[in-house]
Amino acid sequence: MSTVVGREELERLELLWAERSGLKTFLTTCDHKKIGTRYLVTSFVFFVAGGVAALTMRTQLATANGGIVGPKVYNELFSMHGVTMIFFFVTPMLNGFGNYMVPLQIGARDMAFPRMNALSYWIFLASGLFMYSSFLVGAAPDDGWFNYTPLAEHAFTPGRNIDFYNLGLLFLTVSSTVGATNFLVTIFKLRAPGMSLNRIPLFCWGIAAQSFSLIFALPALSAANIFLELERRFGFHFFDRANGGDALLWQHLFWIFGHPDVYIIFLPAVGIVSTIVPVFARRSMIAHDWLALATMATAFIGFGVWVHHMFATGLSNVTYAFYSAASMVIVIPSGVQIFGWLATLLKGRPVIRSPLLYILGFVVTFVIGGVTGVMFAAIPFDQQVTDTYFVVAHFHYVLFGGAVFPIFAAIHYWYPKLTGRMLDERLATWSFWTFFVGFNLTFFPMHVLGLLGEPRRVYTYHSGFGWGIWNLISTIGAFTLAAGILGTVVNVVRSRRAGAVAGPDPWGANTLEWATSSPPPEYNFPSIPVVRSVDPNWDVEDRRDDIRRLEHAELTLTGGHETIGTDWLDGNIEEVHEGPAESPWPLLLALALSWFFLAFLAGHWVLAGIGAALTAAAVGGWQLKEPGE
Amino acid sequence: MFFGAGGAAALLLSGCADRQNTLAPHSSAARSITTLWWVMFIGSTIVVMVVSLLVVLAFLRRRGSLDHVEARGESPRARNAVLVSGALVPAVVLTILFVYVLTSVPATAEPKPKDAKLTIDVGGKQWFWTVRYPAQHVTTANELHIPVGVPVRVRVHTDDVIHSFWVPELNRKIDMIPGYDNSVLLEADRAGVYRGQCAEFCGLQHANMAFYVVAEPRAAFGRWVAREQRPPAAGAPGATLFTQVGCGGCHTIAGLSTGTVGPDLTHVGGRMTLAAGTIPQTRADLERWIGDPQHIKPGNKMPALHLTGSQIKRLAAYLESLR
Amino acid sequence: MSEQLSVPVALQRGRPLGWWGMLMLVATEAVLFGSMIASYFYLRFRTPQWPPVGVPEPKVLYPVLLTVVLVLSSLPAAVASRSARRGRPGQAAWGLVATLALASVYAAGTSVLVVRAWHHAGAQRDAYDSLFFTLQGAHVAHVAVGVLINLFLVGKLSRGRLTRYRANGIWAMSLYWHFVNVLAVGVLLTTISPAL
Repeated sequence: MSTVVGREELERLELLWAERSGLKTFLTTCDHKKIGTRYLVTSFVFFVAGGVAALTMRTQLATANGGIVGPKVYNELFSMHGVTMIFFFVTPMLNGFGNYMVPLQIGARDMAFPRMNALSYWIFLASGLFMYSSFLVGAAPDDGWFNYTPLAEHAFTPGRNIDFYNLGLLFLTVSSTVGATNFLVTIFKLRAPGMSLNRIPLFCWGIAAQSFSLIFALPALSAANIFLELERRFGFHFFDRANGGDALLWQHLFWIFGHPDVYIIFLPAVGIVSTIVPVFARRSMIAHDWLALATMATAFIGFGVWVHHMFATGLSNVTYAFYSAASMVIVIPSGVQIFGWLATLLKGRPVIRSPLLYILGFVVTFVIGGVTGVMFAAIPFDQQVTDTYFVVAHFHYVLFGGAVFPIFAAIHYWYPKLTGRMLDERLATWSFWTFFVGFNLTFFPMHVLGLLGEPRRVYTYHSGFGWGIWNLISTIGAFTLAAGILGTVVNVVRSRRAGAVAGPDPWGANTLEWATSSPPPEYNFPSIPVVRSVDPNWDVEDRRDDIRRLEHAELTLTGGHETIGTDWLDGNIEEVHEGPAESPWPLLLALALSWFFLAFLAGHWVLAGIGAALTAAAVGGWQLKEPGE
Repeated sequence: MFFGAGGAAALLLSGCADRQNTLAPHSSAARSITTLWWVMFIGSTIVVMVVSLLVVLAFLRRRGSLDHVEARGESPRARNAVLVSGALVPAVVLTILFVYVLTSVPATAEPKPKDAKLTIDVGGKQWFWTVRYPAQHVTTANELHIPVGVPVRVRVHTDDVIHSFWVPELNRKIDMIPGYDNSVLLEADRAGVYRGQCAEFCGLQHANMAFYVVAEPRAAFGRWVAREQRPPAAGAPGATLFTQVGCGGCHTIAGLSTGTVGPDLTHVGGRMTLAAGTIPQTRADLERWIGDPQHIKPGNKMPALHLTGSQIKRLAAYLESLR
Repeated sequence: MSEQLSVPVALQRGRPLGWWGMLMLVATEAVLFGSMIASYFYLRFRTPQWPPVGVPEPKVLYPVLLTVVLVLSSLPAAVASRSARRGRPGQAAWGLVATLALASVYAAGTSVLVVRAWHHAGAQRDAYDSLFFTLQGAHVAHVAVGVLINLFLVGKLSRGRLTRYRANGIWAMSLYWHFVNVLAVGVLLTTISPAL
């Protein structure tokens, strides 16, 4: 730092924002970077758990009449595989990247509600443990991740399995709702001065679209979970015909949530793709504004297609025609995005590094998944192959291709920012190819199996159908894929110490997270950056101006734990926001809620009442210390 | 004659009947779906090839460097290309596809009640199928017989959980949902044995809930119906044992018992398989099943009966005689 | 070199972050109730007899009166919010108290009606009863939570100054009350719809 003023400002910032290491800080931090890292690590652990379930299933199915596990365990495995991957891996992993990167990309010092941020992590962890504790009592959810009634009703699944499912998801929903609120308010109100709506990075658009979708889609799932739990516990009636209910009511409520859920997963992931492509194409994104619009359009249209999950239920063909059309219309915004990325690569000068390899893997696998998706919009074809391995192939191509490949790209891209070290490129390249080949070996044969008539969710099959060879190839693929993942894990662990030092901007990137050190200081930026284009880190003069402002103590916000608030459209400064530092209340509130849900699960109503009271007390305690006090 | 139990078992063991191949359609309905598939497959392959080609093209160009930014800002020509290739072309292609899809829907539709030459009521229960021919007063389980070339209306229902009736080589699947009256068309264009399987997860033994559709010439079908209509001979050895052991509490044999927890056994000896397609219908398999049903289909509703070897043999002989 | 580096500044301050957060919460809860209300009508139009045979038509008079009482609470809620923002703690506190008083009347009255209906019917009987009790129960719960929060805010005001943070909290709570009151009309119209 060249001036006295600059140095003094930095010292003040250090004093205001520094967090000591230790157990107390670990439990009370509200720093978005620490919370984001926790989300990433915890989600990855769930990924491994879901993966172990998958490998067990694939081992069982590698041969006809496999005898590794019986139907009870198998049904729990396939159900928990789905629940884990969707609710406890892929969405929270993307939120982990969102948590870490959104404030940095918009030039803020933290999220709008730092304590709520900590709360959403603790509840995510607690609900995941809650859901997995079902294995400890031998009653894991076993009616599939979408849990159709009447099978999920008490008469047909009398054990606690589905109570774990309903309560676990209701618990997790609190985390997701709080997180979505936080992201939306942050993205629309806390951006750097000058970052108008059309200059918001595409990853932030992805997170915003996801958050809007969560706000409007989760309640349908919650209504279904509440109804089913009331039915199972207190004898209410919503889904049983004999008492005025309807089995399809569950399906409608579930899929009104469930289809937007796939965009909740997909949109931040393609936000990652839009982040990485311009950097490695060495040029601005073509049609940035259309890609932002396409992101929001996909989220919106995604609410109008859910009946395509019900094409075999015997509803009217007029109804089906509408949803078939809507399911084709939603292809259009995705088409714009794909060709936007391709155009950027074609008009740029690509540089091949490991992040880009995963992006290319994404493009190929997502397009394959997308074309089979269009096939499912063709009603009679859907009615032939839905509930077979063909649909299992489809959704793994779009979910794994569309989200997991970008997640691995993000791991390779942002690792230097989180750790200050580079990953080993050779190991990363080997891991990528193993991963890519393994993925395709696992899931491509499933298209064939579906066409050959193998239904999904079967714990065994007879020989003589010609299914054995494809199942065997798929299992070999699964273990290959696992090896590729292992390679990345080894790389991540080893490079913490052994990796080359990264510096603030090893990729020559265009977004603001690269305008600060790796890892960033607690306060992210010494002075809040002022933004004048969609690629702020490529505006070298503007970034020099940030340093000049620091040296004049402008926009350094050293009055407290502060960040700047701007208006949602143009990015004009409205006010300075003071936020809380460390707080024990998020953890305490999460513990109180855990008490409530556990007591409810066990049927101890008095204890549950105490849990509710503790929750209210924690909310009160949360408000005791106000910012600025 | 060819479709007696022995012949059917031979078919099964030879593997000819164990096929659920959607790409080997044996009806005009299934054929229209298969054609739809091939059309979409070709179109999809073209799309994937084009995108892959563009990816490869991007890397045949001169490479850049991380120290240098190639270009900033927009490119109007590229924007237009994105719009045309990403929005316009897909919109046109998808519109054409949508129209084609709409025209192919009627091919798989079930015949109206007044047009149906034959109606069969199939019920899904955890984990087997009840089969009734209302006009012919025939009740059986786990196996349907239909005359070749006749459009059959299969009405599906269930009283427990959701199942799905699916014979891939003959038509699309249709869900069986409590409180809903769904139907599907079955019409085979040639004689054969077609396998179907439950296609909606319905609990522990969803994987072992299959059935067979036997399409046969009209005369043979008529003879099958006649056989099924005939009540079993009274006073058969083993019938008393059947009642004594308690089988009748769960299984119906016309004139003997009225249980409905398990499948109707009145003509079980004439069927190709047991336990909804789980094991073939042979004396040895029948004895294995009666001896230890939980070992073969764990979790199914038939409990272990702890019978003596001789009791098992006599029951199996009796059931096999019910053709 | 101390040139003024250009920084865009807005002409006026926007709504507080807490208000936007409350808006998101209100949106998600609105969709929750929307899902339950949609489920009510979905099941209603699939059932020929609604209410089922033997179940009396819903009462109209008392629920309507109670709902009017609750909807009136939007007035003191708005007064509380305006006064808080203008720095008048006394007026704000009275607005909060009036809001929670009206809401408490609604909550108590509705609870009495619901408990009486429960003893008559019992939720075990039918989907009609189940939806009625779930909708009413969920709504009363939302009102009860609002009453608790208002009490908390009144307590804070009586023991300390009216800070900007607290004024923002009262502003956010007024939004919550308007939402709860609109919801009350929706729930009312749904539950009395068979009698209309």
